Amino acid sequence: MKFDQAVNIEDLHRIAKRKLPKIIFDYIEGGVEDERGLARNEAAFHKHRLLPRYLVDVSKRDQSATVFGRTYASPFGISPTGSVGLYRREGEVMLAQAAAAANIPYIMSGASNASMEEAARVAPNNVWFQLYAAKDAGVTDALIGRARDAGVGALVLTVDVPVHPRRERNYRNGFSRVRGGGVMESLKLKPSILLEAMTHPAWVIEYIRLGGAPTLGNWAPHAPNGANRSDVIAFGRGQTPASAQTWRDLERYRRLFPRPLVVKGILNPADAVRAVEIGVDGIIVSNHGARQLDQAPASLEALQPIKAAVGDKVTVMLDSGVRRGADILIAFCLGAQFVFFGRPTLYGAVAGGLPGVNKALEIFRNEIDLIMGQIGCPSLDQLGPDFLWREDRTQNR
Amino acid sequence: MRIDQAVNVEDLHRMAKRRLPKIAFDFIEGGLEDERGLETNTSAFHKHKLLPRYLVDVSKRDQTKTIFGQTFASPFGISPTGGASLFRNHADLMLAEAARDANIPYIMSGASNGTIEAAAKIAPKNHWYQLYAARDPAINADLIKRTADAGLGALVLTVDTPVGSKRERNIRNGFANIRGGLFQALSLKPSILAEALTHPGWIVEYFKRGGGTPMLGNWQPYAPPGSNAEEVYKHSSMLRPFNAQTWRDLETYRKLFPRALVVKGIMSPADALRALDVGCDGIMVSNHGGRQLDQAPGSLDVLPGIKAQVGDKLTLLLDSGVRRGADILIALCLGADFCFMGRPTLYGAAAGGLAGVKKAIDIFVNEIDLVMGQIGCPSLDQLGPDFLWRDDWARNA
Repeated sequence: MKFDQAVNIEDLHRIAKRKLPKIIFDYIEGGVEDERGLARNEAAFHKHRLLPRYLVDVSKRDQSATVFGRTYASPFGISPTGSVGLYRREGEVMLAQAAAAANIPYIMSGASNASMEEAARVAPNNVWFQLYAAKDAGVTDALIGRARDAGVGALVLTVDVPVHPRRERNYRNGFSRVRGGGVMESLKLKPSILLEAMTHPAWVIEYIRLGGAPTLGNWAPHAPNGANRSDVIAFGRGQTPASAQTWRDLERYRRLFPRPLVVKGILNPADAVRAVEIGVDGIIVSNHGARQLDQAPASLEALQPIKAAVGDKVTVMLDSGVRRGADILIAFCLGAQFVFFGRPTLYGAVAGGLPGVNKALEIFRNEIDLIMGQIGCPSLDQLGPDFLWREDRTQNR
Repeated sequence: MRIDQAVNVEDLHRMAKRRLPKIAFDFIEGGLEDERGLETNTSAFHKHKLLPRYLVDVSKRDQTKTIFGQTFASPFGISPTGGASLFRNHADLMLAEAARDANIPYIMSGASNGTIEAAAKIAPKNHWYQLYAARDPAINADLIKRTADAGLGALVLTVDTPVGSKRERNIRNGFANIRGGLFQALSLKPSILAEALTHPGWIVEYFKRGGGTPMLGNWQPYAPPGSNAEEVYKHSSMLRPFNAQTWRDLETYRKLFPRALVVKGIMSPADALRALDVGCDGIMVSNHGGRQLDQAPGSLDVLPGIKAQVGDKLTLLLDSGVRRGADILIALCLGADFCFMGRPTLYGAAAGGLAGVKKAIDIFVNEIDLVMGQIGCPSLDQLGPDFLWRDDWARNA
């Protein structure tokens, strides 16, 4: 199947899997420890059912959504995902371009290969920047200053990486050799891994042609002078995670960044309240796509209690487990004001480059449009608990 | 796969399975009857989700834990497991040595092959003894006196083996035959013998030990002088299980043992209260790793009810089903003071001897360390119900 024949995200997923060596695909795909969290995230959506209303005029359907004073064409955006250049050269630039074309936000990862300045040039109105704070506060502050100067629409602080997690697939595969080093380092991989990679020659040729792993564009300016690519990657890796980071640091970021500040990775209602007190503009309820804590609740489960705790004082957004347009509408019914996903557009980028990313976005857009029509909801502001089937309804009536 | 490549306990499990003849591995692995209890135990942990707090300084994480006046480096220890030399020669002493080096408690099984005194020499501060009481009170008094004289920190009375359980794998395999001498072992079914021959490493060790069942080191002094391992085993099996044992006997043991007395195998809150009345220092909530009663609840399932009854008046230990560091933290959230596990370190011993045991311990230490960082809990005394996700939260919010 070619990517333009893809009917849904799962098709792009399969194409991407075919194109990438297992060691690379596993990095996108994997969770942590037993990877129970991956299924939990998706199952959290499948627990819900939508209750349609009929004989509503749905000849015009409007899926635009406004956050932080800006109206986007759809209620979703692209979550930050690190090292996209490793799956597809210039992958981040493609994500930015596709987001601009679709008029949705793209959150560039702090661990991306391109830099935030490059992304802002391509998509000046659609780029947000995701910050992994550095152990060195001077570097963190400099990154925030760059985000401010580059004009990114929002700064998104990821708080759910206090430690590097143990992603067992990567550990077994020896992924750090591919990400961290040059071609020679990768040759030290297990023969079975190398052999499997050879069955995906297009990717391998590209990796060798470009001399190994791409740099970390956002960290490069802060690495010591004369640092080569591997040094920059080691520098970025060494500066994170900022395990000693606390709410005091968030207060400082708040003072440093003049535009919307978002905290990503919140699952605990008490944390959400605290973020509101510090004056953040938004939170993304997220468990990092189940890549950090295998025992964490699904983000959709955590959404309701968080929404109950903070009400409308802050923009509540969500990611982790979103694979269908309907998932986005379900999250809206439960109180989300915007939704993000990371893997689907990565699948698109791998499967077909920029047109592949466009395809992933189009799939979501079309699915949302159809479901809005199907449930009798011509505009998103009508969504709420009334559109959700409640299991206890049968019993209570 | 080599020992040092093991990423998790499941890896050690697979390696142990490969190294051991099925008849020996089944003894470690099996439950009883339909073996539903095995799944009950592990899934009891998977029902729980951890709710992280972020922006907490987790740059230093302390997993030390004090029980019975002694501070251990980690909140877990090694549960008693009988007949361990059948899986690896001198396994009991390896467990003791690894426990000493990791500064965690090791509970020697009453059915061990090493002796109380030998382990006490290796690990004077990390060795506890688990008592299978005999029908002869003089033997019990002597075993308790030996435990006290050897300076052991705690005596652990197992109460959940009032009868030998129906372990169907062992019955089918003819496991009882390897409790006899070499010639009796040769009377096993040809299919069992042929399968065993496909594990030559184990066969060599078996013959190095002289063939036949390993000596029950602690019972040897009570058998007629000059008894060989088979005769000691036969003698001890006439004395056990002591199924006329009652709470009156526990009172006797209490009088005889001057240091910490723990009752292992308690599953009912009423029994926990009774153990408290008798003056025990701790109880271990346990269903014997799913090996005694297939219909028993998961030990984690009964923990909160027991905690509610006894509060802080007893030290609460737990085993059965612990396979991940996160499992231990979940048990601590629910009121356990300390956890134990039996199979994981046996897998390590079977797979790689002392190095394998150390690897198993190391895996737990690292997993605990990472999850503590991930949930924002730099020291164990902060753990409690607030770190657990409640499924009814969404409904109640």
